[in-house]
Amino acid sequence: MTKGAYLEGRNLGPKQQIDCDVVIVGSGAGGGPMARILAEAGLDVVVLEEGPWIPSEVYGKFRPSETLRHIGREAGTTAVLGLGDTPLITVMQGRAVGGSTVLTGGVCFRVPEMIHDRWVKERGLDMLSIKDLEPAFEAAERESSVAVVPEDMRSRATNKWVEGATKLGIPVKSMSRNTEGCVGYGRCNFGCPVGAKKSVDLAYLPAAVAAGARVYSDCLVEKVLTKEGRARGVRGRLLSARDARGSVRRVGQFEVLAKHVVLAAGTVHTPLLMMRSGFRSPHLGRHMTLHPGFRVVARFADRLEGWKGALQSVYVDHFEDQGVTLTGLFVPPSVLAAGLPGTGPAFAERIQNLDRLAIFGGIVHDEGGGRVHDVPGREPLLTYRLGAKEKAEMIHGTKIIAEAFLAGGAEEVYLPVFGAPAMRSMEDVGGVLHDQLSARRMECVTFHPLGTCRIGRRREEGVVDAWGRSFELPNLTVACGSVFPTSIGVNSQLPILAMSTRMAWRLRDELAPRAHV
Amino acid sequence: MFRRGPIERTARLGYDATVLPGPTEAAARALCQCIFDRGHGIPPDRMSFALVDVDDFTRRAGPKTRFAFLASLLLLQWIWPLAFGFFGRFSALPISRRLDLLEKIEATALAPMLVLPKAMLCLVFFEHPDALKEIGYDGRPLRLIEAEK
Ligand SMILES: Cc1cc2nc3c(=O)[nH]c(=O)nc-3n(C[C@H](O)[C@H](O)[C@H](O)COP(=O)(O)OP(=O)(O)OC[C@H]3O[C@@H](n4cnc5c(N)ncnc54)[C@H](O)[C@@H]3O)c2cc1C
Repeated sequence: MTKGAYLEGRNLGPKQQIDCDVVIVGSGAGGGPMARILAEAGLDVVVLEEGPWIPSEVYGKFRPSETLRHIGREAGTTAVLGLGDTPLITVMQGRAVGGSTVLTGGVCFRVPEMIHDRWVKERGLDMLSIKDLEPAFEAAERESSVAVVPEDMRSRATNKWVEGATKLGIPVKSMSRNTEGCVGYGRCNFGCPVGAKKSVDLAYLPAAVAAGARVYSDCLVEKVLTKEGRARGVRGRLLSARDARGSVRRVGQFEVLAKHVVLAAGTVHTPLLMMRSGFRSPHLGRHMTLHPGFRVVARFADRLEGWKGALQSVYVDHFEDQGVTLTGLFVPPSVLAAGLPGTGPAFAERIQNLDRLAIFGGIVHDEGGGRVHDVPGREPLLTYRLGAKEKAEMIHGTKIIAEAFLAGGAEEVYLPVFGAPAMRSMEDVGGVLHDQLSARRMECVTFHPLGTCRIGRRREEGVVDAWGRSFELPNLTVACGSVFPTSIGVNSQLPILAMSTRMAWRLRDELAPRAHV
Repeated sequence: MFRRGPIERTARLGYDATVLPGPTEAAARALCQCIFDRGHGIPPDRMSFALVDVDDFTRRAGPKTRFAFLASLLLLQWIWPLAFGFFGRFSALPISRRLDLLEKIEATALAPMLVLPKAMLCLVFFEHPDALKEIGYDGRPLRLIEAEK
């Protein structure tokens, strides 16, 4: 067995030649379970991650915006170009050992039953039924310490919305999160400073390293190497740390030769790497779903101090069949301020009432109007077209949140619409949120891009099969958010962990058949 | 393309940081006054904290974001005042006129052009411990290492 380790590309010699059984590109929700399961089966595993390796005690030294600079891709400012009546959407992605899981709010959902049914009935993907994925979900929940947030951890701000929702007859449920020993530092989305949030860098990679995996940070994979119709390994460059001007330099190069290649670089970068390596599937980079997200802020008369308690604790799936899932949240003051409307005295008054503000958000189940385009430079161009149905769902979801806030006693509600004044009644809300509203005026963000290397029954329908195996190269597996056949309507971390776990079990049986007899 | 702004020493960041290029810095300062000044001026240390940090932030965000940020400040400084019938550079207008202009921009399809610089300045300005205290935040410091000191 090889000796596992964390190795930083920035400190390695200029030329690295590595041999292994399995090379995994990307160390997030898709890469983590693969690394652990295959290493524990005795396979020689190498994980290559473009971002830096940052131990969790270091997160506490960063302010939120510093975390974004060090761990967020493009410091959290990646934007999707909206086509037609579509808002400008910001896409948040992680770029570090642990991938985007380091930045999550810890929210964990299984894929809803209606989505599994759709995969089986509409897409003929029998192997993705709720029953088939159940063992993988159980394993992922166990490994990531998923537990229901107790009611006494709900913040007063969240409870205000819940009160309003209850008056309107909207059932609210407690959500599950992947935390253990959470003490409420209130900065989950900026790296947990005490390691309570069990992101992949804590829940999976240490066990993978203990079992012999080598995890390389600062390694940008640029090409999948092929020979005679099979993947041979990958090639790329070793990156420096960011210098004072924010630039990353090439400090060397590497080639990793492997029997099997796993791509887990996320929904945006897996298809990009495949395009740049000559893959030809017509589905590559297409069908990207985003779960366009929106949030509403409300001001109450009493002090709520929304930063006290769990930042995310409740959700509403009551409108699932109408294409909307709602979740409670809170964010650090600087992030909250960044989203408040207005300038001058109006803005000053709003931010002065920080302790009286509450937030609630939602996501829309969308239909894959996004695309990853290969353009010169490291980052691709992302485009997205919001459908009329999705726009209506977004408006509907925003209205529901505003109505519950007003029913809960909010004095003012701030909608995610540029230039909208503060709302004091549902008539005000209706005056802004109507069919004629241009989607371009809406503020929108996404945390869950999915579907750019989607699973299909055959190559005419997708990029990989239900086990993530490429239709073009038999010894290449894709295991990250990119494989999902449709939008899932809920946060994506746990579904990706489960999907990757299931694919890893299969790969383990293929590559190390005696390992778990 | 731009004349470099002054070099400011920032012990906090531990290196010499260049603040924003010429006209964009004037626009950023003027915008800060419109967003953060609550009638008694912005303490100079908080203003330079915000400007130095937003410069660092946009560099690390990469060339696209940096370009969009600087371009939206340049437009604000030179183009939007003229386009909306205000004569003079943004930074040269009295604050009340600047606020009128910002309100007009926010109500049009150009609003996203304003949101980018405003959001970025907010993101760094409200990370200054004194700015946080002033708005009533009594939670844990955003940088836990400061709590340990
Ligand atoms: C701010 C934020 C909050 C979120 N909150 C939640 C939440 O509360 N609940 C939830 O369920 N989900 C949440 N998500 C979504 C969830 O984190 C992602 O869906 C999930 O982590 C995606 O897994 P992945 O493996 O597809 O990609 P990632 O986890 O992003 O991992 C991909 C990794 O590959 C690396 N990489 C890319 N290209 C290359 C290359 N060429 N060479 C080497 N490495 C490369 C990247 O740097 C990255 O680290 C959140 C995401 C973000 C960004």
